[in-house]
Amino acid sequence: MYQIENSGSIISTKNRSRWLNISRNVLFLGMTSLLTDISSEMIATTLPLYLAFSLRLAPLELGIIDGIYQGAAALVKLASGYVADRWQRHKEVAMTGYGLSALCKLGLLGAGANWAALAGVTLVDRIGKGIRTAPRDAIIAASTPKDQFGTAFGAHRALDTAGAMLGPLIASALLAFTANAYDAIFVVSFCFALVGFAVLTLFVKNRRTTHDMIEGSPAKVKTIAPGDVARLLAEPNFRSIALIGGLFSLTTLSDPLLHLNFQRSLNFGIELVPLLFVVVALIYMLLAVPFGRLADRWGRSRMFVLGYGLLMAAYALVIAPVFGMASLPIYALLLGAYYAATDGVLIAAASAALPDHLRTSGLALLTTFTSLGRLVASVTFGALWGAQGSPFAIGVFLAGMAAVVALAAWRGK
Amino acid sequence: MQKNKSISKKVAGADEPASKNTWIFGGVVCMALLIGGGYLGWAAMRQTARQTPAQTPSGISAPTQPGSLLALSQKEGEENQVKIIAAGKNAESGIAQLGCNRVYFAGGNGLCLVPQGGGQGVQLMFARLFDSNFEIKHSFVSEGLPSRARVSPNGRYGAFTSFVTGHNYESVGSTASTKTVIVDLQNKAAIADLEQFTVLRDGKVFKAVDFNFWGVTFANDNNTFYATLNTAGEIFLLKGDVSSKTLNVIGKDIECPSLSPDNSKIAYKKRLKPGDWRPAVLDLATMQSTVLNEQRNIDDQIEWLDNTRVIYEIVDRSQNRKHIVATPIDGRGEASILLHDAISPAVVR
Repeated sequence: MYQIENSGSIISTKNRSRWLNISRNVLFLGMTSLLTDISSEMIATTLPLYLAFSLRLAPLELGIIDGIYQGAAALVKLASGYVADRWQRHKEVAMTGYGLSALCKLGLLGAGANWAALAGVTLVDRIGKGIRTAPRDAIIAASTPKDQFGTAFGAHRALDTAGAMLGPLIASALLAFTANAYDAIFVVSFCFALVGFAVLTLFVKNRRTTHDMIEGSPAKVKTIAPGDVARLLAEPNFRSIALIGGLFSLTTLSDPLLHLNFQRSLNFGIELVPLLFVVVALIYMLLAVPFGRLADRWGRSRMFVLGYGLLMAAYALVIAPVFGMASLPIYALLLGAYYAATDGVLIAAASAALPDHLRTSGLALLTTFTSLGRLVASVTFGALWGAQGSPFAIGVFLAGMAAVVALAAWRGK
Repeated sequence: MQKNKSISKKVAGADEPASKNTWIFGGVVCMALLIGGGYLGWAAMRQTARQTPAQTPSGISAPTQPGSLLALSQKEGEENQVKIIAAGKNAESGIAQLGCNRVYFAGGNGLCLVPQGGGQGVQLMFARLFDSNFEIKHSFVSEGLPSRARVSPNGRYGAFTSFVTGHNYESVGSTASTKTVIVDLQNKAAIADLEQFTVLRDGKVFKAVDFNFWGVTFANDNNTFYATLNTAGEIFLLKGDVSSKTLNVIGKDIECPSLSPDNSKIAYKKRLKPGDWRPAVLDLATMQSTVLNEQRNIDDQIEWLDNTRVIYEIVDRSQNRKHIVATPIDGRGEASILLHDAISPAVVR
C-alpha cells in the first residue's frame, strides 16, 4: 500500500496541472472528449433531419440506419481493449478510434444520397466510438494515483458532458445561420473532431502501467492472453463491481424514455424535453468533480449505490409527481446527481479493482455488460409497458433497483 | 528508492519538446478555423443567394377558386416554400412566405408541418395552423419528423402524422413508429393521439403495443375519417369517428387512404413488396380495388384533383427531383406530370 501511494506522489510531481490537482493527461483527454462530443452531438442532432429532408430517404431506411447506430459499438470494444493491453498501446488505439470518427464526418459529405455509403459511414463512426472508450479510460487511470480515480474520472466526465451539451446548441445555431446547409454542419463537425484528435495526439502521453511497475522491474511488462481477460471475472473485487453494475443496468431506462414518461405523467409541454436534457447535463457537469472526490474519500461503491438511490427517487417522481410543477427541477436535480454519482464512479471503482496490465480489457468487458443490460432493460420495459402500462413498468424497474441496492449493501458488508 | 527514481526518469523521458507540439497544435487549430469558418461563410452566402428570388408580394392570400392548388416548391432556391397554383393552370401564381415540410389546406385553415431540432434522441416538430392570409395562428408541438397532414373539408379538424425513431418502446430503434394526432383547429386544442382512440375489430376491442397509425383523411361530414393501422406486420383500413373517439377496422391492405371529393372512393398506396407501392382506388360501395396505370413506386398520401383524377408525388431518384403527377383513376389512363419540382399538393374544393 505504501508503495502504491508512493507511485502516486511520483506522478503528481510532474505533469500535473494546478487546477484541482488533476493530471494533465486527464485534462487533455477531457478536452479531446469535449471537442469530440461537440462534433458527434452536432451530427446526432442534424442527421435525422438531413436524411429525411435533404436526401429524402424513406422512414424504413431511416430506421435501419438507427439500428446500426446502436449495435455496432459493442462488437469492437472487447477487441480494442485486448489490443491496447496486449501491446501496451493505449494512446495509439484511442487515436485510431477518435481518428476514424473524425474521418466519418467528412465521409458524410462524400456519401451524399447513397444509402449504402451512409449506412457504412455510420457504422464506422460507431466502431470508432467502440474502439476509443476503454483505452481512453485506461490512460486516465494510468495517469492518476489510485486514491484520486474518482476525482479524475469526474473531471473527465464533466468536460465530456459539456461537449454533449454544446453540440446540439452549436448545430442549431449553425443551421439557422446557414439556412440549413447540412454540408457546412458536417465540415464544422469535422473541424471540432480534428482539433480533438490533435489534442490527443500532441499532448496526451502513453503511460506504462505505473502502479504495477513499482512491484516488479519496469522492463518486465506482462504479456497477456485472451484467457487472462476471462479470468478477470474470477477476481472477487472486479466480479463484484461487474455484477452490481450489470444488475443495475438491467433496471435503468434510457433518458429519452424516462423523460417522455415523466412528460406524460406530469403533463408538461413536450417542447421542454430538450431543455430537460440540457439542465440534467448541466447539473451532472457541476457535480461530477465534487461527487468524484467524495467517492474517493467515502468509498466509490458506496457512492455508486447512493447514486442509484437518487435514481430511485427520480423514478418514484415519474410514477407520482407529487410536487406538481416543482417536480420538474427536483427530477432534473436527482437525475443529474445520479449521473455524477455513478457514471465516472463505476469506471473509477472498476479501474481500481483491475490489475494495470489488464485494465483496458476489464473496462471493455464491464461496459459491454452494462450496455447489454440496458438493451435488455429497454426490451423488458417495452413488454411491461405494453401489458400493464407505464406506471406499472416503472414500478417494476424501481423494485428491481431496490433489490440490487439491497444486494449491494449486503455484499458490501 | 532506486526503483522509484528510474520510473520518474521514464515518465519524464516520455515528454516530447512541449513547444514544438504547441506550435503544431496552433497550426491545426488555425487550419480548422480556416476550413470551418471559410466553409461556413461560403455555405451561408450560397444558401442566401439561392433563397433571394421570392418575388412575393406580401399580403398574398390562399386561393378560393375550386380546383386551385397549394403545394410545396422543391425548386432550387425556394425549397419547401408554399406555392399557389390557380385552377386549370400548371404554373405557379404566387409564393407565400411560409416554409413547411408538409402542408394541407381546406375550409380556410391550413396545417404546415416543420421539424424542430430537439437533440439527444428526441426530435420535435411543430404543426402550424395558418389562415387564408398565411398568417400563423397557433402551433401544436409533437414528437418525430413530419410525415402527413390533413384538414377536414370545413377546416374544423386537422390531423398530422410524424415518424418517431430512436426511443421506441417496442423496437429499441430498429424500426420507425408513427404518431398521429387529431386536433381541433377552431379551439386550437389537441383532441387525442389516435393511440387513445378505441379500436374495434368485428365489434370487439382490438389492442396491441405495436399499434401504429397514419394517413388520416376526413369525410365531408367533418366527423368521420379514415386512417391506416399497422400492427404485427399487417395493414388495416380504419373508419373513425372524432366525436366518439372510436375506430373500426373495415378493410385490409389499404394503406394511407384519401377520400374522393364525393366520398365514394378511397385512393391509397397498394404495397407490392416492402418499400414498393402503386396507387390504387377502392370503390367504397363495392369494396373493389383498381390499380392505376403507374409503373413507378409512390410514397405519398394521394390527393384528388377532381372525382376522376388523383395526384401524388413521384421521386426521380436519378436527378433527386420530385414532381406532382396526375393519373386518371380508371386504371388505363397514363400518369402525366402536373407540376414540376413540387410536393404535398392540396386542392381547393
